[in-house]
Amino acid sequence: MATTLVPDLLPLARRLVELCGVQPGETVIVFCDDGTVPAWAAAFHAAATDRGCDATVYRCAARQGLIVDFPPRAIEALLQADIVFDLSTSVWAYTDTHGRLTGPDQSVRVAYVGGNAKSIETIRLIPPDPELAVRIRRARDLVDGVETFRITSSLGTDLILRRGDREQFPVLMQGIPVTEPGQFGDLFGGWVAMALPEAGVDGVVQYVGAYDAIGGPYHRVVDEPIALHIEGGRITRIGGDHEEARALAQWFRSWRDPNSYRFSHFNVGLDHRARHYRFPDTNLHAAHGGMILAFGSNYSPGIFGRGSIVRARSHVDLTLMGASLAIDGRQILVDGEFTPDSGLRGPHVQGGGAA
Amino acid sequence: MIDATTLVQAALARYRARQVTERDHVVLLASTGNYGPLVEAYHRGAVLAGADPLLIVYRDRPRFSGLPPAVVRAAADADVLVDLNLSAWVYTDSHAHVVRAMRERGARWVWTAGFEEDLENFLRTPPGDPLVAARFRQVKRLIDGATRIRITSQLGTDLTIARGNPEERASHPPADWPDAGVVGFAPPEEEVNGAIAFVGALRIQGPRLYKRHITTPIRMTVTRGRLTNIQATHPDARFLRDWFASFNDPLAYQFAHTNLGFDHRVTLEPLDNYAVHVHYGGVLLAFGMNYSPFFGTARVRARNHVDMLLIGASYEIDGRSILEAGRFTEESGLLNLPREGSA
Repeated sequence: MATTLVPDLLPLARRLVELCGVQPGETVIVFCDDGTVPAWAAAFHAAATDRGCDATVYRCAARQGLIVDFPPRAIEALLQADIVFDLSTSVWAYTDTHGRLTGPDQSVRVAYVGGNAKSIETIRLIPPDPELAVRIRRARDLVDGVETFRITSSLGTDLILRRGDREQFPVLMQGIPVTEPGQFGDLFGGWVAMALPEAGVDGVVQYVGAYDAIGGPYHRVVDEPIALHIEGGRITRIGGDHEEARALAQWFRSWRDPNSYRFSHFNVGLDHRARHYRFPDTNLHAAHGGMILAFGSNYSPGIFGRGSIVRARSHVDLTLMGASLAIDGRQILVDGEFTPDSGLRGPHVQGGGAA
Repeated sequence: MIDATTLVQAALARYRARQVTERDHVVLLASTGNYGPLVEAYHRGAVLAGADPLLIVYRDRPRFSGLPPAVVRAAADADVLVDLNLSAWVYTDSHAHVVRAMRERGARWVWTAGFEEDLENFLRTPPGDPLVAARFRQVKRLIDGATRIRITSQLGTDLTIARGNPEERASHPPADWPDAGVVGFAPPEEEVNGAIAFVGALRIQGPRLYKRHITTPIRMTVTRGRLTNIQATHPDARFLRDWFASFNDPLAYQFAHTNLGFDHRVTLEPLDNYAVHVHYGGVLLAFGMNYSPFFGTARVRARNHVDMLLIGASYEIDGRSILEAGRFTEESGLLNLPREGSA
């Protein structure tokens, strides 16, 4: 069943396979589903084969819906790999099977790439970048040891997030090649993320930015603030007398799940190539200076740590733009731009030009 | 061009014949050398049968070379295995491991066709044919109860094969696989003797696939289970002699197994793997490796395997005539129906 290789996909796949340190003889599994672009899977298979691996492609039926498991025995089969390139198109993060594959006791490296046309375009536009990797690690070091984050904005956001136990809530670096046993990572973009103790998240967010709600509103750009009132890690009220606010509130309600309102994780986007207003379709996890406040499921003990215990039927990443972030009183982000002394500014700012 | 729906329906029928349900962990094994539309048909068919299948596609590889350990473990865990490229790993340790593991758990196989050459007979042979199933039970009973089999032909074949202990030398397929259209077994290594005047279908399974119809007899002698002479009287005979010799291995000449086919629906024309094994009234004589739990204690490990489907032969079991000149006899109880287009 030879699949036609799209020529420019192969060099990209080769680069990603190489960056992940795939060694000859390693067991490489390219995991995909029926929604994966066949040529993309073929490119990874060929790239791993070229590295001297007897690579295989494992394919399941695509899942319908949000946070849906793959067959447990199929995922058990993936555990035999040294590295899995996840090219699936299904939304299976925060499931038991994803938790099993990426579990803290597993040695398999899991590189999430995605398999639909948008995923391919994303990794093509914002592949791993060595300069960015330096800032990702710097950001990890900055946020890992703090006690309190404070997010503010000129629109009236004032949210406190307490860091909690670092062992329970480790910092995840994304956009870093997956080279260490047991490591999980998205290969594209660059950001740091962490779950946090719910009880330590309090305040109000005047939310503007953009979000993709898988299985719901998609590509939503929010310019008029939506007020998110958060107490003890739960959204208690969604305010705003406009259509975007109503759409988001209805989306939350539609799950009929109190856990949908629970705080899930906090991200800081670092990728200078992912400019929200320049590329409206850019990946919202990576957006430079954006902060994600996510709600709903976060169960992923091998990724967000043993403190990630929220099980919900939904998950949404709300990328907050134009806000400010202080860590233990030190301002590192002001009005959506990293401060000079944060060390997190991308080259588009460091190199001068328009403010 | 056969439309995808037809292929999916044909695959689905095979899942239904094996009672595949949503409770089954279905694993499909395919190589990059398989015919894509058939792989997709089997994958889709499994979904339509209610299963949530795992399709594993590995890099195409030399025949009989075995599969990667991770794939072997995944296959061994299947409730239902759909093996679309048996030739990649049959007669290897990896295949033997999976067969044993599946048998221990009562797992089952779905009969497959994975290559373009298989298409015609794949569509001709839906499961559930009552004649094929009845013949399967009868042939299985006759062969497992046999002591000695004699194969003759008007062209000069006269070969005697000891059945051996059926508990040790299991016949294949097993009794719960009645749609197979064939029963075969590997006899005791040294208990095959006589002459073969081979005409029919030659399918060299490996190391490299080669297939052709043989119409001028290739005359061979088998002594104590091994080919001891091939008369190089014409190009096909010389080719076969030289092919055997190329392995420089006495085990290359070892008699591997014999089959009796009885599926009246197949056409031999494509010389596909299924037809060569199940052709109605065909007697398969195979040489080379036979190490497989499918054949019980058979243990020949060579580098080659050739299937020679002898057509127009006669077949006796302990003196009882089962087949005469390629036609099942009345006394065989094998429903010797006239074949389509025959006089």
